[in-house]
Amino acid sequence: MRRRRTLIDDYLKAHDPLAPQSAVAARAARRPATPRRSLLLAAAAASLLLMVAAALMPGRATRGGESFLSPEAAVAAAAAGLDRDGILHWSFSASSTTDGPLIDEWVDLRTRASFTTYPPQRRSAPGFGPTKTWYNGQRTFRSLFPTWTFRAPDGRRIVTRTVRRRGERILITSTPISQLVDLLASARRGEANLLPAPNEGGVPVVRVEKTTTHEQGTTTETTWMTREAAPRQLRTVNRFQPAAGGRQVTEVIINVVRWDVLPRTPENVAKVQPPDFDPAKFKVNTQFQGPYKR
Amino acid sequence: MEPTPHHRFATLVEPHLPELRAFVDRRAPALADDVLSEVGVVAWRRIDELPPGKERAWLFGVTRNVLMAEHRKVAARDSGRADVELADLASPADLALTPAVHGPLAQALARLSARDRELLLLTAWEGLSTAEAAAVLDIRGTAARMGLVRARRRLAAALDELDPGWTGQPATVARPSRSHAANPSTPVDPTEEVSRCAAAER
Repeated sequence: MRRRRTLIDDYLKAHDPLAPQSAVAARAARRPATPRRSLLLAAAAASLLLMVAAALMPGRATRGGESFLSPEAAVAAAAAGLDRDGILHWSFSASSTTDGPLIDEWVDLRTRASFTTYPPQRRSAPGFGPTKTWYNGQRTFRSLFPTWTFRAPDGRRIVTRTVRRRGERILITSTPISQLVDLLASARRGEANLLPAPNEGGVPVVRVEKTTTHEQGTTTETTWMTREAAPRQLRTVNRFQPAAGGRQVTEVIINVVRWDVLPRTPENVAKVQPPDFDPAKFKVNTQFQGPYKR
Repeated sequence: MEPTPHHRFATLVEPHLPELRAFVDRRAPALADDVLSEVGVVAWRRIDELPPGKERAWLFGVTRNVLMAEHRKVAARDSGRADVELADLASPADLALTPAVHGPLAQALARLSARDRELLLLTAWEGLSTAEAAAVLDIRGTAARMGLVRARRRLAAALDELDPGWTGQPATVARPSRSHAANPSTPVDPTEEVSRCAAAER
């Protein structure tokens, strides 16, 4: 007689959700195969990869406030930044301070050399000193640069994430970087749509309306956030009252807008882009200040 | 010459990615991309700290923790709360029950404790050894062996009730262990069965 152990294990294996006959396995089989070197740290060699350029959105937010470009806008800006020399600058608003961008990173696609520049006022502080101060140490690079998720034209989902390791910034992507660059270039030429992959995590789908009461009255700001960032904003909002120019933050209202995958029409793009964002006016920071070393 | 981090990642982590994805797919397929990307981040950051010879269990442990963290984030979003306590959430073993397992097996698994259920599924579905499953759950090997014996016994009893034909044999055929079969009135001693299982594994 077969032992109970074998019987149980066989029974469980027969009911494995990934067993060939199961629905889950069927879905997994339909999913495009992930390249073996996915997740992949094409990055790894530190000299590789990408860059994230943070840019200021003038007039858009205040110290303590925060805004992120939508994926559409980020793609548009990145595509716009793929210049004739093959230098890609990926850009989205990572901070909303009025005193300059947090980080500019560049990658030269020809040589794979990457450069990072920091505004002088930030260079003396380790990591993201001022930011950390504002957020009382709660903020990390990852939360400033969360996962970006796109839907490639072939339906494949692309997850990108920037991380730091030993002072070097690398990009981890679920697709080889060469394909990502090709997609960005295609998007720039209008040949491909890179759409946010909503309802599957990772894309900014939260619109935050922040109501601030101060001596002159009440003002309401509307800004975009990642879904990951919004709860943190809620948690930390009281902590940076002193940094909010002496204003008293009394109320924060979070409106969550859930996105569907939208066709790339001007109207839809306008929906996911901040109203004051114009990729054509995006400033390219040409002032190279040297690679960042911890 | 010391291998580069890139080489270590390619040799120690990448070979396990398919089974890590399967682990997540079985429990929360919608989170698989995010979880795997995060596991890659963690593995890359700690590539120099992987326990020699135990990379697989370590990676499964990381994946399990990341899965719970991702699930917590999703729960926080869906609930509209700023944060969700870990205690509010199901373990990966509970996640395994929700989308993919139906019928008598789901009911039978639900009768087990979360830890026993997780032990059972880690060994049966993920093919981990008892020692690896213990490492994933951060419990002692002896406790894992005891838990597995207990889980199998309870699951068999539950299936006897819920799905009498689960062995593929007539429901009247008993399936006790050997010692139990020799003397059905004697209760099964889990420690004895643990010893036998351990010997069998060796």
